[in-house]
Amino acid sequence: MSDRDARRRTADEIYEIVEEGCDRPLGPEATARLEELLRRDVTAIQDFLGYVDVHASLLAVSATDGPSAVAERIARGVRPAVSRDRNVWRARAAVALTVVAMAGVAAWAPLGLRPAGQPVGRVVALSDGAVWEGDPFAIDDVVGRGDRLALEKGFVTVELADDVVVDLVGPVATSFQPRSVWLSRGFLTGRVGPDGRGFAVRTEDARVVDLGTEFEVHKDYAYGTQVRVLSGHVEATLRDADGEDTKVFDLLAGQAARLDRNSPDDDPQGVIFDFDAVARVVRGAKGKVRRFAGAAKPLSGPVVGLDFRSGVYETAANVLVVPERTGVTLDRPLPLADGSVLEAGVRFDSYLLHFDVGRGSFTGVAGRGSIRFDGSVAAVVTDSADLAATDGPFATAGSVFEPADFRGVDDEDAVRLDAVDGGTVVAFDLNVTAGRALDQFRVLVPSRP
Amino acid sequence: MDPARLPQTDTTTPSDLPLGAEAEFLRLVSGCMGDLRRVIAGFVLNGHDVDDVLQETLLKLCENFESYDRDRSFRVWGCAIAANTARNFLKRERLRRGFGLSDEIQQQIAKVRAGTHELAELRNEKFRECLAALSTEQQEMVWRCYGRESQIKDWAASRGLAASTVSGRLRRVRKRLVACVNRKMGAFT
Repeated sequence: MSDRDARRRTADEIYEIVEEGCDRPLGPEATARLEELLRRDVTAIQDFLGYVDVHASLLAVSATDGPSAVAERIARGVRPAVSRDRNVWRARAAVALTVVAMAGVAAWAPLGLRPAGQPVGRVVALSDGAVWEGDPFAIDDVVGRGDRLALEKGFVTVELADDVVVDLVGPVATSFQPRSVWLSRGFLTGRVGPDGRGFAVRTEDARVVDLGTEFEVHKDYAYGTQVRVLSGHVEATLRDADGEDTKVFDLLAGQAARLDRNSPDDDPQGVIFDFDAVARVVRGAKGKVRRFAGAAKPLSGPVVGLDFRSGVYETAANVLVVPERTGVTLDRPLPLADGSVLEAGVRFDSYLLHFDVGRGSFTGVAGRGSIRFDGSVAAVVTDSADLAATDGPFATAGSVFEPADFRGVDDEDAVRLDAVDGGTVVAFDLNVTAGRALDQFRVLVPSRP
Repeated sequence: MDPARLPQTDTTTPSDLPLGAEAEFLRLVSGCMGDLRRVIAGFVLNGHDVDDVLQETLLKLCENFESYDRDRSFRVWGCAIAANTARNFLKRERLRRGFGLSDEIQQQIAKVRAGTHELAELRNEKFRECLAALSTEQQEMVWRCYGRESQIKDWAASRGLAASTVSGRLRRVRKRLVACVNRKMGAFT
């Protein structure tokens, strides 16, 4: 058995023991075996800590105790003999704790204009926390011929001419040409309308030509180019080191292939990249929002357990678009302050827009922008009381909201559902005022499969 | 919490703290509960034990809050106390049960952990990326149920499932996350 195999077996065994230990206390035999394995070398301990840390991180994610829960927990832990002479905790501290410490407002540097070649598209979505490798792009920036877009983390969406939309998920490096993208490494998705047939993704291994479809491509140096077709039809061509075409595969919806010029005889069906996991990040973050403009930014990261109280989840000058629950049906009609009514029995998907510049320094900070959906918007909930009434059915699990009545849109702000394009665009101009650094509103769209 | 497992201390509750300090204490603690739990679970694994040690840690933090140096990070201070409390818990449990990992291997683990702090930070970052790649339903299941048996029963009942089915799904999610993090870190799975 090779050293590598031996290490793998040790790691597997450690994993099994950690698995057992997560569910119930380890017995003497398992503990002794774990000790024996950990004594082998430092890498065994590193493997152990790697497994333990995932479990610990999961426990940390599932634990979002607020101040009142902490107080109750401490009160539960105080033995009666000690606590009987002391005051029993009365949850009053929790009420007093709606104010959370403020961090300074993160600096937001507006991006300058770039010298662009022939325009081939523009940036229509950029995730919160995206980190660029090389020149940064911002929402609404024009992408010119030959522009290199490379992300270390996060994702960006570029809308090209002829109804082509490309999502890039970091780490990824690309450069754009009219009707084609060069993918040096990383992951992208392409959605191509009827006018975009013939759009191509090129890598050093392959040329993937769209024939009216939605598809995904991943390129790395270890496994070459992997392609998956979600709908429609693509033609994927394996190319050798001289750029000569060597094999052509027709891929239909649901099919995938791996094309590697270094291993041209490998089984083309031997796809190993986890397309679902990566694509879900983008789909989960964008939902049905087709375009983000101005300050609007999709969330990048887990959507549950977020704290939206004033001053906690600061967004600087961005307005965060947070997908919430989908397919929600109300049991009874819910009248809103503007006179409209959310009807019972209608299935809604919900999005929370969150703007919190913090309390450190917000003079002159405004969040202006818009979001465009694939279909018509059903309702925009802007009143604080209406937001509180809709938190229950529409917010994701574990979300915490500002209890004070200033979270909604006030007289300083403007939010409107634009009638253009059949009511698919929600435009906003949010402004913060002294002591009220938070603005939120909720957009509901009809739920469709 | 099992009172027999709690060391005897002259416990302070938040309401015993001076006016204002009570609110500050709860705010600071609630801001780093996830970190405290992560540090503790890095030592004691089992969910019930994690809860016990967390409880003990909170009591210690409360007792010692007046000596907390405001120039230092509360998170760092709290995590150091959580780690010490977890180590002491393991020692007590080893005496009580008659077996456990030896002091020597515990020290080795502590050394490796200290020496790979930045790597652990990177792993945690990759963990969050992998978590975000789960479906919203899976994220909700983790948020509501992971390490919480009573919540597993409620979650299962609301979906017409057996609790064991949900437990199995949580295990598969954990396994998938381990594989995802390892893949992103370039390790074998």
